[in-house]
Amino acid sequence: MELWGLQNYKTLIIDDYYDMRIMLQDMVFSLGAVDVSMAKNGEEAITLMNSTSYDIILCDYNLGHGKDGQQILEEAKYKKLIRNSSVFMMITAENTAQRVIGAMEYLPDAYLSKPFTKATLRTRLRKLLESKEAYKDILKSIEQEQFDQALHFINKACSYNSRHRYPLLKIKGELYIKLGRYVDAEQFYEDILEERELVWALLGLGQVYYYTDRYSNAVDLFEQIIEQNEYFMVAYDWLAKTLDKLGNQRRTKQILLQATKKSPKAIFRQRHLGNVCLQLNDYPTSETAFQNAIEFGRHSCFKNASDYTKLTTSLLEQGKVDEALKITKQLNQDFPSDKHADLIAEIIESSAHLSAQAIDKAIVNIEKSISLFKSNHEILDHENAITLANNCLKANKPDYAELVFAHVLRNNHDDQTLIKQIQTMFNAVNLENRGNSLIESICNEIVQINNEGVSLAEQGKYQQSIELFIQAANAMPQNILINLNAVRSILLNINENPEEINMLKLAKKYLDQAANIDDQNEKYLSLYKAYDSLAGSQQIN
Amino acid sequence: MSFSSNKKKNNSQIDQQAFNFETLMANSMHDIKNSLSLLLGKIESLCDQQTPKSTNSTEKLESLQLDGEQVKASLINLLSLFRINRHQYYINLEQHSVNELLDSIQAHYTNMLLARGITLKLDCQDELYWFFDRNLIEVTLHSLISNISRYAKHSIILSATINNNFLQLKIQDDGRGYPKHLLENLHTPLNDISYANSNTGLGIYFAKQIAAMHDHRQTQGYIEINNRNGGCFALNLP
Repeated sequence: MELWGLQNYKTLIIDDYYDMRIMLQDMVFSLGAVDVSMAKNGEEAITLMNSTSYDIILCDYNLGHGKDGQQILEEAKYKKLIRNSSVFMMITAENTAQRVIGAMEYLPDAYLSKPFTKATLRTRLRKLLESKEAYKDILKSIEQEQFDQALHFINKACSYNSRHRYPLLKIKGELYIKLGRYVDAEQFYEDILEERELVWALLGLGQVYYYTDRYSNAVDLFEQIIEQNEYFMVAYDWLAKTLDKLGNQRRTKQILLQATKKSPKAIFRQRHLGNVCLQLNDYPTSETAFQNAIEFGRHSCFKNASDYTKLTTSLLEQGKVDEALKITKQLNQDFPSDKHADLIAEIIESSAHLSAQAIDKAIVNIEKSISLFKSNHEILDHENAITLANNCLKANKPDYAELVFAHVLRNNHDDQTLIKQIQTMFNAVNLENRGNSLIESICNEIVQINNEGVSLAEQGKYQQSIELFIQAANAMPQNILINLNAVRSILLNINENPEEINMLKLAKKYLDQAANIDDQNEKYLSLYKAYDSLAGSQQIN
Repeated sequence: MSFSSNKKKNNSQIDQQAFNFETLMANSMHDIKNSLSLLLGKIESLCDQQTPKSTNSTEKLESLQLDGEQVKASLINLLSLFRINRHQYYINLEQHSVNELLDSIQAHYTNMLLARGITLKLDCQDELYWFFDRNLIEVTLHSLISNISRYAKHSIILSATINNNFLQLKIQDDGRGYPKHLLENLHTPLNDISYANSNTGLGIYFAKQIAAMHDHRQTQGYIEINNRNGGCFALNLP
């Protein structure tokens, strides 16, 4: 009679084959499990995970139509439907599975290959559950984004169990980087590499070079990794990212082509390839890349209607107007009842009509677009906004163009690339002056808000400063400076008036908004540190 | 399968066929492996259902499982070599618990071996950790154990020690030892498979490849075989 068992764990089995589900269920029952749920596809699985927090998930990678196991895992982690203290086992048919199918953040805890016996399942599960239990504090801290605390726990654990510290060290390195402690990270990875040439340490070091602007060093290192590990896909992604910084677009394209050939399902990679090809005016390749992003992303939580916009651009640049008009049908199928997608469909059609010189038809779509935009500014993202505004200019509707550009500018008032882009577009329709005065007035508007808010804070009028910035942040949520200034005023207030400590939550809200825009922004990182130390000292949970 | 007349094939079709045969083979192996998966699963649950009175049937079933494992091991070896050959495998060296690995191997084979009158013992110091690709080494050990079970009389000992900066995984059996031709040809490449010898050496070739894939500071892993006290196979990882 076994003492150890799965009695206390909620288990979820995901497999599209009835026989397999039953077999797995029998196995876990015989291991003592009591609370066992089953799902035959991604949709059912996500629904179940929405209402229950499972401790153990056994998921087959191959699930026929719909989401595959990796996509389920990604969605569950992204939407926080699964704790990092839960065990997610991916069941694969491959013994020599090409690992790292997905991004580093979304890896399962273990791969189990068919066929496996109950004894194997038992041993693997037991080991995983035991280590999750042992690392409980570390995992919780990470989940709550208290990275300094997590580091503290890791160092403690390493000193207890110095012989088996490498899995912990891997996390430690990642934390150093998350905290922006690049000097520490560099030393740390170098020390590890002196002992053992581990791929994750090489990758980590490469990331440190990247973040400290030593791009050619990073390139060399990532290339070295790829040479020795042809299928370590993450290295390709980092190499491509670094080459981007060096502006070496041809090489970026080359790398991404290699990578997508080996592992086509990574939609972020396909998008990156598509974007680079657009910049290089290689429209046939960008067409394929965005088609792949759409195809492979169909069931992924990361799918994005903008892939259709870029596909359209690729098609129109090749004169394929009819094809461009056809894709809106697929778009609406892939994104049913989605206002953002509806808007994009209208923009795509307007672009296609303009391309074929059918101005009147284009205007119909433009009117619909503007009306949708007015009903909710949030549904128009940056890139599509620029396309829409440009289309308005081309269709001789400059008032609409100004409306949309104003929105974009408010959220990115100091983005010189954007400003140049807007100027170019106005110049192209001989409205240079109108363009410049729009830019000037919006930028002044923002600068004024910032100055006023900062000055209020300097005078100690924190409440007013905070209110000003929050109002501004709500009107232009994509403006990182405004968001960060809101945070800054809140933290200054708390410093002066410790009893206002409950405002930390508010600060966190705008910090998170800023992180969504650019989590490597220097001001963001330093404000985050300040927040973290205030939060830590107050033991906020 | 239809046997339509296909005598007249032009060259390009034949080239195409040759090119696709590898893939066809790989796909077939997959299918066979999946069928085997279900089969072994059913056998295992039959074992569970056996009552104390019918231990004889249980033993027969467990013996059957071992046969299944041998087929599975061959398939996996082939598949793995296929992928490695095509550079489709990325070796993932991480620090792992050797104890945990050996425990899981033991858990897997104990009953099956006992059904053949063979005991499987472990000999490994506590808290032993090393750097290796867990998946590859696990597969290798499975392949070795299932093969060696054919030759062992009553005992197999699976041990792990550190020897000269190498992790040495040893499998000692008490059978009649490895055939001469395998011992002699240990360091020559695998060719001229002679069907006269029932042991084609695939398992050993596989182990050799896997060991060599593990390298550290310019030193590669290697295997050793000798016939002291029966058969002794050692896998050395740097």
